[in-house]
Amino acid sequence: MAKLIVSQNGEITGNHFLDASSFTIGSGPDNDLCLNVQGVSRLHARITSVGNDDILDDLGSTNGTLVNGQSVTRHILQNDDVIEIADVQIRYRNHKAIDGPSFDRTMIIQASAMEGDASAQPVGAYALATAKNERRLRAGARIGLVRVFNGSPSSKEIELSRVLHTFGIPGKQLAVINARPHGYFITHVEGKKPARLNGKSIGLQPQPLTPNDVIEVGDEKLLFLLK
Amino acid sequence: MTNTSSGTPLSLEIAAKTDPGILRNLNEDSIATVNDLGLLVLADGMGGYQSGDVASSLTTQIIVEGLTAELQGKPNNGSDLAALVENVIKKANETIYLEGQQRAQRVHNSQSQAMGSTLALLLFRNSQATMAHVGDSRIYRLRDKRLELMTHDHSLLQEQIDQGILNSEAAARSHNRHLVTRGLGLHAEVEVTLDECEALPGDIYLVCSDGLNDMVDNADIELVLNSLQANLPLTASQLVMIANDNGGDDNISVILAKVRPHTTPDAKKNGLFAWLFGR
Repeated sequence: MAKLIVSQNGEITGNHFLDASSFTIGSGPDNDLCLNVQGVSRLHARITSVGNDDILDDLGSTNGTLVNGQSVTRHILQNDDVIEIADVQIRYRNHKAIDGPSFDRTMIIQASAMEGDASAQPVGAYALATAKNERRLRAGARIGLVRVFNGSPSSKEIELSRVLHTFGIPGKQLAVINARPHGYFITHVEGKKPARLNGKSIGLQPQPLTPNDVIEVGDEKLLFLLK
Repeated sequence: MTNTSSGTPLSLEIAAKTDPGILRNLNEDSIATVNDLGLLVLADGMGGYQSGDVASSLTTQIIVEGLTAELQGKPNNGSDLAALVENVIKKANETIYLEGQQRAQRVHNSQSQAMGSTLALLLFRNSQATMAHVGDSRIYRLRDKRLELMTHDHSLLQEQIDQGILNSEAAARSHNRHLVTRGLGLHAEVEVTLDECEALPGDIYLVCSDGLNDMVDNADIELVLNSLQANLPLTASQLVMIANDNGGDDNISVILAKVRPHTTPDAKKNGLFAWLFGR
């Protein structure tokens, strides 16, 4: 269960457990956490618990609510977040909220009471996947680069920044280069004859690429480099 | 439900792959395909005492057996396919539910942990694709190079988004991923979401477990399908590879089905995987 540790001027003034579906903070006496402090609105903020999430909402307070120094109106609390209301600091502790979004085993929960008519909206799960993707790319040290020689004196360069790039002629001879955490790899996609790497067929298995490798695919000659 | 378009006969190429991912050593996903029926079934199991993989394999097995009995050798079964699919799924739900009850008794655990499974199903027949799902396993369709999600997750996170509590950006910080609101085998009754669309030549359908769409964003899934579709088995294995490269936090399963006009010389030559439907 999540816990709030309230402190003011560096001294802990109270502990509260989020054991109900709603927890309110304000200067009014009927709040779950009553802060009789200047700058706190009567009904200042609310924490709503849904599944494993505790969601903080500023209830249109006069002086606002900060989380880790940033002003928020709605925020999904993460372990060790510090909520600031006037000069009161509230630390949020929850072992379930450690290390970002959870990947616990799929669990079964009851559909929430306020189901209503769920209209079709774009599903939001890909925001997480995007974050994962960015993490992977940041880890990669040097970006791969392909210089294309097609007979003309001007050679063009293609940065291998996407997760994959295909080269060659669809239907005739096509190969894919993958950007992976541990390097770049080329794999045969289609065509009777696989592309050639340094004069040798790449075969049907992925082949690792090293700088200055020469790839022949379709009617193009490619030079692989690292930026 | 009144789609009777019989148009050009179509053929289907199918490729599938399932993988435990990086973090887990047990694969609780189960996949099954029946080329002769144009049937794709994917299930993502859940439950304690390692019963998740039992639930998911029961799901695929019972549904394949049920639909084979109903459809095998009846190419022009004119009955309402959606109703037929729903019936078979509901029967599977009952069986898994009873099995779960029996297991709970054997384990002598008063707080019997439920076993259950998600389901995503595609059935191609008479140029028509019938889709069914329960839980957070998904069906996507690539048409005219654009990826489109055809299902709506039965999950707490999706409910929060639908109710406007969270936007999709905030959802990335949620701890409610994987909390599904519907599953097979959890209750004596189950509500199935069904849909139908006309299958067109060039369409590619992707059925996947959340281990794919949690780890690989829609833009990259679209890129992989558009770039590699000439080699469907490679497309499937690259989707799994990218999910693992991005962390592989969960089991990953994908089933791909590519629709093509059956008159292409390619399809005639490759009679092994090209089966006909819509005749």
